[in-house]
Amino acid sequence: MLKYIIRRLFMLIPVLIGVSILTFSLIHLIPGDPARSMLGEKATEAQLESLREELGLNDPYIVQYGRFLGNIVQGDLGESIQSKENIAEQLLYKLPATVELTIFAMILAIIVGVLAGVIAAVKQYSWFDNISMTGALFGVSLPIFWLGLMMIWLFSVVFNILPPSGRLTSGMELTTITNFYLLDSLLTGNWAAFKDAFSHLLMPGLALGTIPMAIIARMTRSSMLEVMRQDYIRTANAKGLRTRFVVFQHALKNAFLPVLTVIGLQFGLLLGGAVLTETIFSWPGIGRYVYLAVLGRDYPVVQSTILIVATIFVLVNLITDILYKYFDPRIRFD
Amino acid sequence: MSLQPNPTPEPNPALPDSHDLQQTKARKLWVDALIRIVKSKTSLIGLCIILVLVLTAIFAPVIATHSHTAQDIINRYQPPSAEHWLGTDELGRDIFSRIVYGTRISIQIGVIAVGIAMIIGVVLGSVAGYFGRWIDQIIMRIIDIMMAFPSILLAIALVAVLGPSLTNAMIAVGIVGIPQFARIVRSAVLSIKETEYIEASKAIGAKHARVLFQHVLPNCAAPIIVQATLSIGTAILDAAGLSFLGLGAQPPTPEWGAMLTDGRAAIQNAPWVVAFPGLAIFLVVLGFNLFGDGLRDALDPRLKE
Repeated sequence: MLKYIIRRLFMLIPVLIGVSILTFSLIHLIPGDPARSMLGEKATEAQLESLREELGLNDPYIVQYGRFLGNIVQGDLGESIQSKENIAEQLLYKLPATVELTIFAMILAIIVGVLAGVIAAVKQYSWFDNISMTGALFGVSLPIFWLGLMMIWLFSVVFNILPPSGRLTSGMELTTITNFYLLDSLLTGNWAAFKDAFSHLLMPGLALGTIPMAIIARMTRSSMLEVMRQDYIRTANAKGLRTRFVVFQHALKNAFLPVLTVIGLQFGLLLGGAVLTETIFSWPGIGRYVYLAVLGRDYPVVQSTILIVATIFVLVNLITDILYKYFDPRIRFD
Repeated sequence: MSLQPNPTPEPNPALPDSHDLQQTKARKLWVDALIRIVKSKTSLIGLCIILVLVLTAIFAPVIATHSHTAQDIINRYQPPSAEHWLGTDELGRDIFSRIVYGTRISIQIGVIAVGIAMIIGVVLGSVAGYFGRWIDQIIMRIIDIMMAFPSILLAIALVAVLGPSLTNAMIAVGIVGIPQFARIVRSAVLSIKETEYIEASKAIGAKHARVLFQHVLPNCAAPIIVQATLSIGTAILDAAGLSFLGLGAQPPTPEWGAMLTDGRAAIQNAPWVVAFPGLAIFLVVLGFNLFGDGLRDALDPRLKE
């Protein structure tokens, strides 16, 4: 197992180098002069030259790439053109917001998706099966930005029960330790803040989690149906085990593998989907950060954020593969 | 025991020749697929939604009740009524008419973006699968790198570089879709190129291009068509997302995603400005997903997850 993990980590290197080349190239794909594109038409030649000098745009590509890679390895992601803030520091502050939202969305998706999938499979062709699978079919086709807006209208405007934006009500005090607000409020025993942070998470989490929820539900159902037809399930039923025990202890354990792959893949996609969700709910994470940077043509921020997200995405996929192998030792990746 | 060479069989006039047989088989596959689609309720619903969408796009000027660009500031934010079926937006434009004209843009986005993804993806995938070795290695590593980015984020990055416009959004969504086509075509080509008829066509001296385009690719048509149908829904959804972020279609284009952005500020008082364009996106994506699922079951059950 350890050998496998080490080999996979080595295989990661060319992919990550490729990712870094692609992100590096972004700035050079800009039609025309990148410096003018960033500073706008009104910039003077002196300002342009100074930015080119600052970003090292006058050097040969290979020198620029070497410096780009060298800085990243040292954790230096440069600074924002607009705000002059250190990007690595900003990401360190904003990443927990996105990760908290993504994990929350994923937990919602897994709980609801797996449960719905299991019940739908056990009670195949029942009303629950029909309704939940129709719901899942609708779920994968929903534009999450629209769903988010409609939720805001329903829960914040009409019923006024959930806050429409942000992570915490202004004025609510919370000592931050990890920047994961739910965790921080638990660690400091601040229940008011926990409740407040939770209510802020609910809508964006649900909006972001809808598509994975639908996909997980469909995957769990089809995977469970296949497992439930196996002989050992019949044996377990025949020897008089309780249905609930057979379903969760015998069937779900084996049906969970394909679901796990879907979960891993979806987790990465959530990071992308966070751009839309965070924009709608003014969630101060990296999705909104990259969106504002794109609008402001702040390319160093765009580059760094995308690089970080892609790296996380690659790592999550790797972890999924490792877990897959761990749960199913029959699988050999040679 | 000595082996006698087989005598050359006499052509049997009662049997169709191999070309006819091949054509009949091909026809049968598509007829079978059509029957299966019509029999499946969900894919039939999907097909109907797509047909309605196409007809709406063609007859947009006839169906629209108002001009899709005419402003009427006095009547802004009107709720749905007999005059304005789906209400009016912040400039008093008729939302129903804008959605009707928006179908043209959505179809355009779906077809062009998927066209880009399909053409490049099929070429890359088939070249990688057919020639193998280092060509395969290089192409597939590039595809791996593209897949290391969450698709919407890569699309956003590309639009950030190319500049926000509908055309660039279509290009970005198209590029992001390349890996899926490349991978599907590559794996189909890998299995087809080992078959005997490919070996036979090589043996009679057919050139690579002929083997690839005349014999290998036509046999990958089923998975390509299935993927294209499913991708159209995703492409429309992604492009609408980009437009919603202000990175795709620009005002006053009646693109559904962009219409959501316009209505966002008024959601408290005029939720219909947001509700209906979003519903349109949902229905169209649902249509393509339902039809794509049905098509996959009918044409290539192996693809079913």
